[in-house]
Amino acid sequence: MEREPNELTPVFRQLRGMPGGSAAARARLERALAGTPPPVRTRRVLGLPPLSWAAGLIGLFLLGALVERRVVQPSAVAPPATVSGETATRPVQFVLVASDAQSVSLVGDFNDWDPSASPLERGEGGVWSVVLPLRTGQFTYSFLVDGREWRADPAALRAAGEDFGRPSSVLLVARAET
Amino acid sequence: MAVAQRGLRSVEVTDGELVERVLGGDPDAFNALVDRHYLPCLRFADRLIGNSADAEEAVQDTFVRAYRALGRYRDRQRLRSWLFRILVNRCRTQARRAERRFRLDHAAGERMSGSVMPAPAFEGELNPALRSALASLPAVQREALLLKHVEELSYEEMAAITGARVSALKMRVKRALETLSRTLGPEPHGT
Repeated sequence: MEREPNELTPVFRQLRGMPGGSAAARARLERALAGTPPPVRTRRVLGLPPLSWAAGLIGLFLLGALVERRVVQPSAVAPPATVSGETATRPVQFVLVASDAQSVSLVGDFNDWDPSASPLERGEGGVWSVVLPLRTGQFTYSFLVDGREWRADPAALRAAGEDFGRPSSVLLVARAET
Repeated sequence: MAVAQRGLRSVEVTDGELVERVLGGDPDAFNALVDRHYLPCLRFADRLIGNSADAEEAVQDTFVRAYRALGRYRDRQRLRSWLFRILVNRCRTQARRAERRFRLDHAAGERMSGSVMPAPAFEGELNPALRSALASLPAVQREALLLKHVEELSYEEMAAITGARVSALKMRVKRALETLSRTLGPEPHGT
């Protein structure tokens, strides 16, 4: 490991010491986990998660309908959809033009920033896209290109919290007018 | 402890095997993962946010989110890196909330002593000079410094976790070290 300056050795000895933590906090965590539904294994078919198959089918339909807009404005698109109730979702298409990329993943609040959760499919001309069903609300997201380069959505609002250095964008999924 | 009695804390059991047990219907195996990673996560959150309550909340949120998303975890990456990716985001959220609280308190005329960090975390763990010096670092530098020199991650792992470029991370660590050397060196602190 790269070493810190010698004069800071005592400082890092302190910093590396483990905090005690509190029993109350651990108990709260155990209660929270006990109240959380157990995780379900996501099975992959032909190396792709099920969501990507569903998203691909929806995406093919939406890409056909939105191709003109997509090329002009590569951004997260929440197409008009009739949604009723707080828990309803609507399909949101995410598009990034990256002709030099070998892989692109969508990471954000909605998938716990998990690069394996929402891979984009490559289309003609280096246009990558994926469609996700999202609940109404505000989300922060980013594209992870080739597993290492984070890119904000070039056509979406930039997230305010970029003080930590990761470019990210904001998406507002509004409930459709009924 | 019940988990230890089942032998799940054995060092021979890898994180990946524990994940498989959880996904196979043994939720207690997740407790073993919590036992293994809780304190390092808490250490990072505490040092980064500087407030014990916020740090504990960020860590709790991290493990609950990880538990929910465990079905999507693939063993291609280290579980620790995956947890830290979630944790870094939760800490950023908590840090912003703490900052807003500080501004509101300050606007209301409440007296705040010392740095931006309003309350010492885990009393007695870090001496006040060190905590204050950490608090004085820009958030991006503090985050990079902790990941590199406390959690001992590689720059490539840090880039995957933080979304920053390796060159930017190296610069942040360098500047943080320079600031700490000026502030705290050469005298030993609290050892």
